[in-house]
Amino acid sequence: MQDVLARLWRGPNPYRVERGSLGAFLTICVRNEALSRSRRDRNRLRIAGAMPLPGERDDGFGDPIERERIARAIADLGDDQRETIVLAYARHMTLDEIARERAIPLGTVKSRLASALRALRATLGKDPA
Amino acid sequence: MTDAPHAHLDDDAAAYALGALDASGMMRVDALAASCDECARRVGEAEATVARLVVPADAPARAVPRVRTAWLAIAAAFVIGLLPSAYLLVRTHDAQATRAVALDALVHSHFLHASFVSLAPDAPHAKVIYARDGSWLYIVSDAPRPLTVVAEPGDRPLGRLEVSGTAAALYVAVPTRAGEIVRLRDDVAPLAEARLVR
Repeated sequence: MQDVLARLWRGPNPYRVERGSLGAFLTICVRNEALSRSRRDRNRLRIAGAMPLPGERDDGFGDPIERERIARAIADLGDDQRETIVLAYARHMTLDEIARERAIPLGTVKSRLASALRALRATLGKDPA
Repeated sequence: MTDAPHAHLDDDAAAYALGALDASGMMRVDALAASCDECARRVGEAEATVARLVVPADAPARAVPRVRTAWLAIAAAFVIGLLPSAYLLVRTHDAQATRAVALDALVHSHFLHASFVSLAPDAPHAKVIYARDGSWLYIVSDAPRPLTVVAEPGDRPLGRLEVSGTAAALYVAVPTRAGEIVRLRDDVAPLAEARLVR
Protein backbone atom coordinates (compact mmCIF):
# COMPACT_ATOMS: atom_id res chain seq x y z
CA MET A 1 0.00 0.00 0.00
CA GLN A 2 2.84 2.41 0.74
CA ASP A 3 4.06 1.87 -2.82
CA VAL A 4 0.74 3.23 -4.05
CA LEU A 5 0.86 6.19 -1.68
CA ALA A 6 4.48 6.96 -2.59
CA ARG A 7 3.61 6.84 -6.31
CA LEU A 8 0.61 9.13 -5.82
CA TRP A 9 2.72 11.48 -3.80
CA ARG A 10 5.65 11.64 -6.25
CA GLY A 11 3.60 11.98 -9.44
CA PRO A 12 1.11 14.62 -10.52
CA ASN A 13 -1.76 14.68 -8.06
CA PRO A 14 -4.62 12.71 -9.65
CA TYR A 15 -7.07 13.58 -6.87
CA ARG A 16 -9.37 16.56 -7.46
CA VAL A 17 -12.13 17.86 -5.25
CA GLU A 18 -14.68 17.15 -8.02
CA ARG A 19 -13.90 13.48 -7.48
CA GLY A 20 -15.52 13.55 -4.03
CA SER A 21 -14.40 11.27 -1.22
CA LEU A 22 -10.62 11.05 -0.75
CA GLY A 23 -11.09 7.84 1.21
CA ALA A 24 -12.96 6.21 -1.68
CA PHE A 25 -10.29 7.44 -4.10
CA LEU A 26 -7.51 5.85 -2.01
CA THR A 27 -9.48 2.64 -1.58
CA ILE A 28 -9.96 2.24 -5.32
CA CYS A 29 -6.32 3.18 -6.04
CA VAL A 30 -5.04 0.42 -3.77
CA ARG A 31 -7.52 -2.15 -5.05
CA ASN A 32 -6.85 -1.35 -8.72
CA GLU A 33 -3.09 -1.46 -8.18
CA ALA A 34 -3.40 -4.86 -6.52
CA LEU A 35 -5.51 -6.14 -9.42
CA SER A 36 -3.07 -4.75 -12.00
CA ARG A 37 -0.11 -6.41 -10.30
CA SER A 38 -1.97 -9.66 -10.04
CA ARG A 39 -2.77 -9.58 -13.75
CA ARG A 40 0.75 -8.57 -14.70
CA ASP A 41 2.19 -11.43 -12.72
CA ARG A 42 -0.29 -13.87 -14.26
CA ASN A 43 -1.06 -14.83 -10.71
CA ARG A 44 -4.82 -14.79 -10.77
CA LEU A 45 -5.08 -17.90 -8.67
CA ARG A 46 -3.41 -16.13 -5.77
CA ILE A 47 -5.99 -13.38 -5.60
CA ALA A 48 -8.85 -15.76 -6.29
CA GLY A 49 -7.52 -18.02 -3.58
CA ALA A 50 -7.55 -15.14 -1.12
CA MET A 51 -11.26 -14.58 -1.71
CA PRO A 52 -13.72 -16.67 0.25
CA LEU A 53 -16.17 -18.36 -2.07
CA PRO A 54 -19.88 -17.73 -1.55
CA GLY A 55 -21.05 -19.40 1.61
CA GLU A 56 -17.56 -20.60 2.42
CA ARG A 57 -16.75 -18.20 5.22
CA ASP A 58 -18.67 -15.96 7.53
CA ASP A 59 -16.11 -14.72 10.03
CA GLY A 60 -17.97 -11.72 11.36
CA PHE A 61 -15.80 -9.17 9.56
CA GLY A 62 -17.36 -5.73 9.83
CA ASP A 63 -20.68 -4.59 11.15
CA PRO A 64 -23.15 -7.46 10.65
CA ILE A 65 -26.11 -5.11 10.27
CA GLU A 66 -24.36 -3.12 7.58
CA ARG A 67 -23.19 -6.29 5.92
CA GLU A 68 -26.70 -7.62 5.72
CA ARG A 69 -27.90 -4.29 4.33
CA ILE A 70 -25.34 -4.50 1.53
CA ALA A 71 -26.18 -8.14 0.97
CA ARG A 72 -29.83 -7.28 0.50
CA ALA A 73 -29.01 -4.48 -1.91
CA ILE A 74 -26.99 -6.89 -4.04
CA ALA A 75 -29.67 -9.55 -3.79
CA ASP A 76 -32.21 -7.02 -5.08
CA LEU A 77 -30.26 -6.33 -8.28
CA GLY A 78 -31.56 -7.77 -11.52
CA ASP A 79 -30.09 -11.15 -12.43
CA ASP A 80 -27.94 -9.77 -15.25
CA GLN A 81 -26.65 -6.88 -13.15
CA ARG A 82 -25.89 -9.11 -10.17
CA GLU A 83 -24.13 -11.77 -12.19
CA THR A 84 -21.97 -9.21 -14.01
CA ILE A 85 -20.92 -7.28 -10.93
CA VAL A 86 -20.05 -10.51 -9.10
CA LEU A 87 -17.74 -11.49 -11.97
CA ALA A 88 -16.09 -8.06 -11.96
CA TYR A 89 -15.81 -7.39 -8.24
CA ALA A 90 -15.64 -10.74 -6.53
CA ARG A 91 -13.97 -12.69 -9.35
CA HIS A 92 -11.72 -9.84 -10.48
CA MET A 93 -12.51 -10.37 -14.17
CA THR A 94 -11.91 -7.69 -16.77
CA LEU A 95 -14.55 -6.47 -19.22
CA ASP A 96 -13.06 -8.62 -21.99
CA GLU A 97 -13.02 -11.70 -19.79
CA ILE A 98 -16.62 -11.21 -18.74
CA ALA A 99 -17.73 -10.64 -22.33
CA ARG A 100 -16.04 -13.87 -23.40
CA GLU A 101 -17.28 -15.83 -20.39
CA ARG A 102 -20.91 -14.78 -20.86
CA ALA A 103 -20.79 -14.49 -24.66
CA ILE A 104 -22.18 -10.98 -24.64
CA PRO A 105 -20.91 -7.74 -26.26
CA LEU A 106 -18.38 -5.61 -24.39
CA GLY A 107 -20.78 -2.68 -24.36
CA THR A 108 -23.40 -4.82 -22.65
CA VAL A 109 -20.94 -5.72 -19.90
CA LYS A 110 -20.14 -2.03 -19.37
CA SER A 111 -23.76 -0.96 -19.25
CA ARG A 112 -24.70 -3.77 -16.82
CA LEU A 113 -21.89 -2.78 -14.46
CA ALA A 114 -22.89 0.89 -14.68
CA SER A 115 -26.55 0.18 -14.02
CA ALA A 116 -25.67 -2.18 -11.15
CA LEU A 117 -23.57 0.50 -9.46
CA ARG A 118 -26.31 3.09 -9.98
CA ALA A 119 -28.82 0.75 -8.35
CA LEU A 120 -26.52 0.05 -5.39
CA ARG A 121 -25.84 3.75 -4.95
CA ALA A 122 -29.56 4.49 -4.96
CA THR A 123 -30.25 1.76 -2.40
CA LEU A 124 -27.30 2.25 -0.08
CA GLY A 125 -26.81 5.99 -0.32
CA LYS A 126 -23.47 7.69 -0.21
CA ASP A 127 -22.45 7.06 3.37
CA PRO A 128 -22.75 4.13 5.76
CA ALA A 129 -25.95 4.12 7.78
CA MET B 1 -10.48 23.22 -15.14
CA THR B 2 -13.22 23.43 -17.68
CA ASP B 3 -16.21 21.22 -18.14
CA ALA B 4 -15.52 19.24 -21.26
CA PRO B 5 -18.13 17.02 -22.89
CA HIS B 6 -18.11 13.71 -21.00
CA ALA B 7 -20.14 11.51 -23.30
CA HIS B 8 -16.86 9.84 -24.25
CA LEU B 9 -16.54 8.54 -20.65
CA ASP B 10 -19.72 6.50 -21.26
CA ASP B 11 -19.92 3.61 -18.77
CA ASP B 12 -16.18 3.34 -18.14
CA ALA B 13 -16.45 5.02 -14.73
CA ALA B 14 -18.15 1.96 -13.25
CA ALA B 15 -15.70 -0.45 -14.87
CA TYR B 16 -12.82 1.68 -13.60
CA ALA B 17 -14.05 1.71 -10.01
CA LEU B 18 -14.62 -2.04 -10.12
CA GLY B 19 -11.11 -2.68 -11.47
CA ALA B 20 -12.47 -4.25 -14.64
CA LEU B 21 -10.50 -2.13 -17.13
CA ASP B 22 -7.13 -3.07 -18.57
CA ALA B 23 -4.13 -0.78 -18.06
CA SER B 24 -4.84 1.38 -21.11
CA GLY B 25 -8.48 1.76 -20.09
CA MET B 26 -7.42 2.82 -16.60
CA MET B 27 -5.05 5.44 -18.03
CA ARG B 28 -7.77 6.77 -20.31
CA VAL B 29 -10.19 7.25 -17.41
CA ASP B 30 -7.45 8.80 -15.24
CA ALA B 31 -6.73 11.30 -18.01
CA LEU B 32 -10.41 12.15 -18.46
CA ALA B 33 -10.90 12.57 -14.71
CA ALA B 34 -7.90 14.89 -14.58
CA SER B 35 -9.14 17.17 -17.36
CA CYS B 36 -12.93 17.13 -17.13
CA ASP B 37 -14.91 18.16 -14.05
CA GLU B 38 -17.98 16.12 -14.92
CA CYS B 39 -15.84 13.04 -15.67
CA ALA B 40 -14.12 13.43 -12.27
CA ARG B 41 -17.51 13.67 -10.56
CA ARG B 42 -18.79 10.53 -12.30
CA VAL B 43 -15.64 8.57 -11.52
CA GLY B 44 -15.82 9.76 -7.91
CA GLU B 45 -19.43 8.60 -7.61
CA ALA B 46 -18.54 5.16 -8.90
CA GLU B 47 -15.52 4.96 -6.57
CA ALA B 48 -17.64 5.95 -3.59
CA THR B 49 -20.18 3.23 -4.39
CA VAL B 50 -17.55 0.50 -4.71
CA ALA B 51 -15.76 1.70 -1.56
CA ARG B 52 -19.17 1.69 0.12
CA LEU B 53 -19.27 -2.08 -0.28
CA VAL B 54 -16.40 -2.33 2.21
CA VAL B 55 -17.88 -2.38 5.67
CA PRO B 56 -15.90 -0.66 8.44
CA ALA B 57 -14.01 -3.32 10.36
CA ASP B 58 -14.22 -1.59 13.71
CA ALA B 59 -17.11 -3.67 15.00
CA PRO B 60 -16.02 -6.27 17.54
CA ALA B 61 -17.28 -9.80 17.21
CA ARG B 62 -21.03 -9.63 17.57
CA ALA B 63 -23.84 -11.97 16.79
CA VAL B 64 -23.78 -12.32 13.02
CA PRO B 65 -27.13 -12.82 11.32
CA ARG B 66 -27.38 -16.07 9.44
CA VAL B 67 -26.74 -15.81 5.76
CA ARG B 68 -30.06 -16.74 4.31
CA THR B 69 -29.46 -17.15 0.61
CA ALA B 70 -26.60 -17.86 -1.74
CA TRP B 71 -26.74 -14.26 -2.93
CA LEU B 72 -26.36 -12.99 0.60
CA ALA B 73 -23.22 -15.11 0.86
CA ILE B 74 -21.94 -13.66 -2.39
CA ALA B 75 -22.53 -10.23 -0.95
CA ALA B 76 -20.45 -11.16 2.08
CA ALA B 77 -17.62 -11.91 -0.33
CA PHE B 78 -18.12 -8.40 -1.74
CA VAL B 79 -17.89 -6.84 1.67
CA ILE B 80 -14.56 -8.41 2.47
CA GLY B 81 -13.29 -8.22 -1.08
CA LEU B 82 -11.07 -5.19 -0.71
CA LEU B 83 -8.65 -6.38 1.92
CA PRO B 84 -7.46 -9.54 0.18
CA SER B 85 -6.72 -7.32 -2.82
CA ALA B 86 -4.71 -4.91 -0.72
CA TYR B 87 -2.87 -7.88 0.75
CA LEU B 88 -1.24 -8.56 -2.60
CA LEU B 89 0.91 -5.51 -2.08
CA VAL B 90 2.76 -6.89 0.91
CA ARG B 91 4.97 -9.82 1.62
CA THR B 92 4.27 -11.29 5.03
CA HIS B 93 1.25 -12.12 7.10
CA ASP B 94 2.19 -9.57 9.78
CA ALA B 95 2.76 -6.91 7.17
CA GLN B 96 -0.62 -7.78 5.66
CA ALA B 97 -2.34 -7.16 8.95
CA THR B 98 -0.52 -3.85 9.38
CA ARG B 99 -1.47 -2.62 5.92
CA ALA B 100 -5.06 -3.68 6.41
CA VAL B 101 -5.28 -1.68 9.62
CA ALA B 102 -3.61 1.34 8.01
CA LEU B 103 -5.91 1.20 5.02
CA ASP B 104 -8.94 0.96 7.26
CA ALA B 105 -7.72 3.96 9.25
CA LEU B 106 -7.21 5.98 6.07
CA VAL B 107 -10.59 5.13 4.65
CA HIS B 108 -12.64 5.58 7.79
CA SER B 109 -11.19 8.56 9.62
CA HIS B 110 -10.31 12.19 9.05
CA PHE B 111 -6.61 12.75 8.61
CA LEU B 112 -4.00 15.41 7.97
CA HIS B 113 -0.52 15.13 6.51
CA ALA B 114 2.85 16.84 6.74
CA SER B 115 6.10 16.50 4.81
CA PHE B 116 9.32 15.72 6.60
CA VAL B 117 11.97 18.44 6.50
CA SER B 118 15.48 17.20 5.76
CA LEU B 119 18.05 17.48 8.52
CA ALA B 120 20.81 15.67 6.62
CA PRO B 121 21.93 15.41 2.98
CA ASP B 122 20.91 11.77 2.70
CA ALA B 123 17.45 12.24 4.21
CA PRO B 124 14.72 10.40 2.30
CA HIS B 125 11.59 12.11 1.04
CA ALA B 126 8.92 11.20 3.53
CA LYS B 127 5.49 12.22 4.70
CA VAL B 128 3.46 11.58 7.82
CA ILE B 129 -0.29 11.06 7.51
CA TYR B 130 -2.01 11.31 10.88
CA ALA B 131 -5.48 11.17 12.37
CA ARG B 132 -7.05 14.51 13.14
CA ASP B 133 -7.96 13.13 16.57
CA GLY B 134 -4.34 12.12 17.20
CA SER B 135 -5.06 8.39 17.44
CA TRP B 136 -2.68 7.10 14.76
CA LEU B 137 0.24 7.93 12.46
CA TYR B 138 1.16 6.51 9.08
CA ILE B 139 4.63 7.40 7.84
CA VAL B 140 5.57 6.74 4.20
CA SER B 141 9.02 7.16 2.70
CA ASP B 142 10.20 6.84 -0.89
CA ALA B 143 13.45 5.19 0.20
CA PRO B 144 13.68 1.49 1.13
CA ARG B 145 15.49 2.16 4.41
CA PRO B 146 14.34 0.76 7.79
CA LEU B 147 14.81 4.05 9.64
CA THR B 148 13.85 4.47 13.28
CA VAL B 149 10.90 6.76 14.10
CA VAL B 150 10.85 8.74 17.35
CA ALA B 151 8.55 11.44 18.71
CA GLU B 152 9.43 14.61 20.62
CA PRO B 153 9.15 15.61 23.34
CA GLY B 154 10.71 12.73 25.19
CA ASP B 155 12.46 11.04 22.27
CA ARG B 156 9.77 8.37 22.41
CA PRO B 157 10.49 5.45 20.07
CA LEU B 158 7.51 4.75 17.78
CA GLY B 159 9.00 1.95 15.72
CA ARG B 160 10.97 1.29 12.58
CA LEU B 161 9.97 1.82 8.95
CA GLU B 162 9.15 -1.44 7.24
CA VAL B 163 10.63 -1.77 3.77
CA SER B 164 8.45 -2.95 0.89
CA GLY B 165 9.67 -2.68 -2.69
CA THR B 166 11.09 0.78 -3.32
CA ALA B 167 9.36 2.39 -0.34
CA ALA B 168 9.06 2.03 3.40
CA ALA B 169 6.29 2.79 5.87
CA LEU B 170 5.21 2.51 9.47
CA TYR B 171 1.70 2.57 10.91
CA VAL B 172 1.41 3.12 14.67
CA ALA B 173 -1.74 3.61 16.72
CA VAL B 174 -0.25 5.75 19.48
CA PRO B 175 -1.72 9.00 20.83
CA THR B 176 -0.03 12.20 19.68
CA ARG B 177 -0.65 15.88 20.35
CA ALA B 178 -0.56 19.00 18.24
CA GLY B 179 2.93 20.46 18.16
CA GLU B 180 4.72 17.16 18.61
CA ILE B 181 7.61 16.44 16.28
CA VAL B 182 8.18 13.10 14.56
CA ARG B 183 11.76 12.33 13.54
CA LEU B 184 13.34 9.77 11.26
CA ARG B 185 16.83 8.68 12.28
CA ASP B 186 19.41 6.11 11.36
CA ASP B 187 21.88 4.61 13.84
CA VAL B 188 23.91 7.80 13.89
CA ALA B 189 21.76 10.92 13.74
CA PRO B 190 18.33 12.38 12.93
CA LEU B 191 17.71 12.65 9.18
CA ALA B 192 14.35 14.39 8.89
CA GLU B 193 11.50 15.70 11.03
CA ALA B 194 7.87 16.73 10.70
CA ARG B 195 5.66 18.73 13.06
CA LEU B 196 2.12 17.56 13.73
CA VAL B 197 -0.52 20.27 13.65
CA ARG B 198 -4.28 19.98 14.09
